[in-house]
Amino acid sequence: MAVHRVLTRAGWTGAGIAALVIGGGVRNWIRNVRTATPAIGSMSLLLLLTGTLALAWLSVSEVLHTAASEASVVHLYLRSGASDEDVDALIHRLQADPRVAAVTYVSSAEALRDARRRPGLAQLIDDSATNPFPASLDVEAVTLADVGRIASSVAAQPVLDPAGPTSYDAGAYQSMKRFVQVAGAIAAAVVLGIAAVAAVIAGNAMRAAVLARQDEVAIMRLLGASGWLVWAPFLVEGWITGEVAGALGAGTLLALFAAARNASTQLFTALLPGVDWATCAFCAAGLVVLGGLLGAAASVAGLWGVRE
Amino acid sequence: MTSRPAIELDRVAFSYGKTAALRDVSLVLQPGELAYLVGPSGAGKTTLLKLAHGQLRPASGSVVVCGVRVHRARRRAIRTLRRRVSVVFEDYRLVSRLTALENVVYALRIADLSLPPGAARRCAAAALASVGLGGRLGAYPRELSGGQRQRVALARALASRPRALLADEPVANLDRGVATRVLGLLEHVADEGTAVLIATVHSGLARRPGRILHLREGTIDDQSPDALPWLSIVS
Repeated sequence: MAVHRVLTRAGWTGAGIAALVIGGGVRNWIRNVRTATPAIGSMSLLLLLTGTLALAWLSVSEVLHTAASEASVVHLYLRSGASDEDVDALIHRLQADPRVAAVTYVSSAEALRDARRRPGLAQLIDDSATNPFPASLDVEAVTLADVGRIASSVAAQPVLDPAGPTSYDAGAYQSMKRFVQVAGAIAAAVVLGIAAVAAVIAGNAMRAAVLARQDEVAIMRLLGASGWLVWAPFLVEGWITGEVAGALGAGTLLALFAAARNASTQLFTALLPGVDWATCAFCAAGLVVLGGLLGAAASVAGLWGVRE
Repeated sequence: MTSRPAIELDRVAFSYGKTAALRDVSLVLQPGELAYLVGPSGAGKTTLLKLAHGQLRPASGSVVVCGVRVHRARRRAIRTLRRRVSVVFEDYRLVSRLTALENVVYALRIADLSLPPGAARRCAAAALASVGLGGRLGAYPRELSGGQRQRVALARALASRPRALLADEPVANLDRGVATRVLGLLEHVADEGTAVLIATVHSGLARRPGRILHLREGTIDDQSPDALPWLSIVS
């Protein structure tokens, strides 16, 4: 019986706290939604930018990963009409080279089939009357450093296409890596800058909300409310602001992704290679969670100076 | 065995800057006792109530209310004190965004977080009915007259059945009939064991049950109702 009484009392206490803290926070937020609008705007912009950069980062990571795995393979494009004997001779020569791990012949038809798998290319190929892809030898080097040497050793072979004998592009991989590092640093700086602005705006909105309700806070204190009971509703209010901003940012991100997918088809180019709907939805969910945390943090920052 | 005083001030002094508000004030109020703290404006009545409620700390002397040593209490103890001691503020101190009923419920739930919502609402409604506002439960403070707001504040103070009740001018804005009813209610609360201290300049409270404490220029100089010839009679 005593246990039941204690549990019942604990239940009512929890309900009472929830009503005062969560209920109070929700009611206050609805009442002060105008004050929170600038904060919602700046936070949703920040979150959208963060989500977009996250998707771009995932995409670039995927490209880099693919580039890294393909970097040790050089394609030798065969001249149109090259004889089988000449091709075999080149294959034997390459297989004899200790720097070469493997040589694979890829016919023009196989190259066409591979190209069809790339986003946006299928329709372009269909529009073409002939197969634009030459046959090639895919040469896998033992080490990445050997790729350039192998390519230059065979580039002048008459069996190869004189206009573009190999796929080797010195420094392309390194350039891409450098670009990603610089772009990442710039993006991080931009996100941090906007985060600071968003935090200041959201914090000020919260400070304004507290100052506008100074009388109410004073009454609560005079009635004997604990500090956390006074401030927790403001925290809930900030959290809701962040959640709304997160939901707006997430919705916009999903809409932009849908537009990018559509544009990919139109432009025959994968705008975000390696990113699918599941990845985008995961990022969007992350924005909603991040929004809540950001809103709560902005609340704490805003309340800091006015607590006493 | 004597019970511990509900309110006990011993040689209390307080100043606002260089202006002395209270000097060497001593006062003992037992549970169930009702006292009128009367005196002209600026005599220090509100200061004394604020000291008893932990809103101010005395420059010297001791203030013990409901077992809490207010003069040296930490914040937590002050919060506990405020849940045991209700105040009717002179400026009502109602939350403007809440209705009359919600204001009382709000205070009840702060005082006791484990109070079920239904019980809190019933208790609040009963308190408002007892001050004659049973028909204005859903009215916001801005929709009420000064006297009605004062009664909401009184209902809020009464609802939690406090151990001590401090009232600053609780009938200042009420007409004669309502004032009489409110004072009767406060006397009833005292009869049930609550120590009630009423500060007033009102000249219509004498000859009612209870002690009269005359506060003048920061000191209680007499505790006899007969020494207050400027008070008229309300009954």
